[in-house]
Amino acid sequence: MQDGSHVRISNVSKRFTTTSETLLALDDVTLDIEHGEFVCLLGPSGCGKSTLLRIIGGLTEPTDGGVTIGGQTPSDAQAKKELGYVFQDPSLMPWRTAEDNIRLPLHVNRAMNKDSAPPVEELLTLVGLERFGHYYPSQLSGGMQQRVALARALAFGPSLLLMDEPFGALDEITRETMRYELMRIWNSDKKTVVFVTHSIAEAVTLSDRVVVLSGQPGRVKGVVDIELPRPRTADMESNRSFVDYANDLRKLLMQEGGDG
Amino acid sequence: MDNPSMQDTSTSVRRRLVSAMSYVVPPVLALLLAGIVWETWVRVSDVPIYMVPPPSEVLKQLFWEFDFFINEGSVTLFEALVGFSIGAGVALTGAALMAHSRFLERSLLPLAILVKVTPVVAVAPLFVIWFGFGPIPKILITALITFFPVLVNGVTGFRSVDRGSLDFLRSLNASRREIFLILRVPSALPYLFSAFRVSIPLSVIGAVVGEWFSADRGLGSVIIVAHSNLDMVTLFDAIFVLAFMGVGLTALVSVAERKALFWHESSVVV
Repeated sequence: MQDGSHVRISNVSKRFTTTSETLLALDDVTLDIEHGEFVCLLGPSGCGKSTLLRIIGGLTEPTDGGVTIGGQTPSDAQAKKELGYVFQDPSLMPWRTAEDNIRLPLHVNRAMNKDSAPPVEELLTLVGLERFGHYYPSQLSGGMQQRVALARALAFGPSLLLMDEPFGALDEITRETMRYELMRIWNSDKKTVVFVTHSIAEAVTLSDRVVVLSGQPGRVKGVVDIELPRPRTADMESNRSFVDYANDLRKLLMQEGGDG
Repeated sequence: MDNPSMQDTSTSVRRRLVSAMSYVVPPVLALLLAGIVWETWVRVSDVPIYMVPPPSEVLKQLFWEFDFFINEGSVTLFEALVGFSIGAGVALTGAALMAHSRFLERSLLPLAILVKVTPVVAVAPLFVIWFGFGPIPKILITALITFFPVLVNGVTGFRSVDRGSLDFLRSLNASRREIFLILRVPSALPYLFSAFRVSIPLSVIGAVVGEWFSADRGLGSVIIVAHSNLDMVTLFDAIFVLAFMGVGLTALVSVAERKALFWHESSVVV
């Protein structure tokens, strides 16, 4: 029944009700994401892309429709520790060292800890922080904190990585470095990734597939397959095909700006 | 923040000593100066000793009667600390429950406010009738007076958690208990220490007020007896010991706070 599809989003709508009005944040979104696929949700601020990610992650309930992850509900996937979340804010605990922050997921819902979970030393090396394990978050730069958050999301061996504008709060230079770091890390075990961003360059560099969302209400405006070879490098950004993809996406985004 | 392990130990110890002295020396000097001014004023204007005694007399008696004041002081200190522990313990339990349930907060907080706005001095005689002349009414009065700051700050503290950290723990299906222990308790510590700074001096007040109404032990009763005898020297001694007790307890809270909140902005020395 599930053959291949890892995340299945079926007719998801989300309405937020305030005292004076209802806001339709997501309107009938349907999307299938394959195992090991890297999918970006691209759209302007306030288009509901973060809400969609939260619905996939089981942090927000949809008003209509539903999501399955490997055939299970998001809350079952949570219970089995299959979801690794990375937010725009690193959200580390300032009273724990980098190492202890990375170990944190192993201290909750212990019954579901997997034997296959990678050791902390390996994770620190993977994110390039092998010398910083005993540092507190306040002693690390923003980029380093986000690396710790990424290691923390990988620490319990989830099959699905949900990333909500993880590099959004970083400066441009760090952002670009982190992009290729993430590619390197992803190449090592090809988890399924759903990545929310409003950066076109980020979407083209990272994705197998970019889902463009329109703003208010959030609808799927178009889906673009990015068929650039991997591993992707910084030189590619000046390639003809990279620029073409970027232009296609920009056009798709603009199009909805007119009728918005 | 420097990493302590990376520093040379001897310089680090010396630096700590210097920094500790820079906190201790100025207030000690100010206190000494105030004492000299007081002494001079009493001597020069010939203030009678039953109105204001000179500090030298007060200290002299404190020295000769040291055991007496230590004994009475420890009675008061015991009541203050036990009362504070009970008050803070009940408040923390209440705060943990209220932080999880708006319903409980709405039903219990008005009650707590009612208790808080009722002057303790008005309730104290009642406690004597109910609980007799032993330490129990003093402990209960202290618990009552220290309870509220801890409760209110506790509720706020347990709730003021980082949104992302909470989401992250939820995405792992962490239980309420796990979220409470791993996230809410450490997040509440800055608020709780603020409450302790208020409640600890209050606990000494509570114990003394309790002793005024019914006691043959403790500094509160020493004050009452000295007052009726117009024995100003003893009265001032009791006040000195109480003040010292307050300073000591507050300093202990500060030290504990610095140890526990090394990660918090409030502990970064500018």
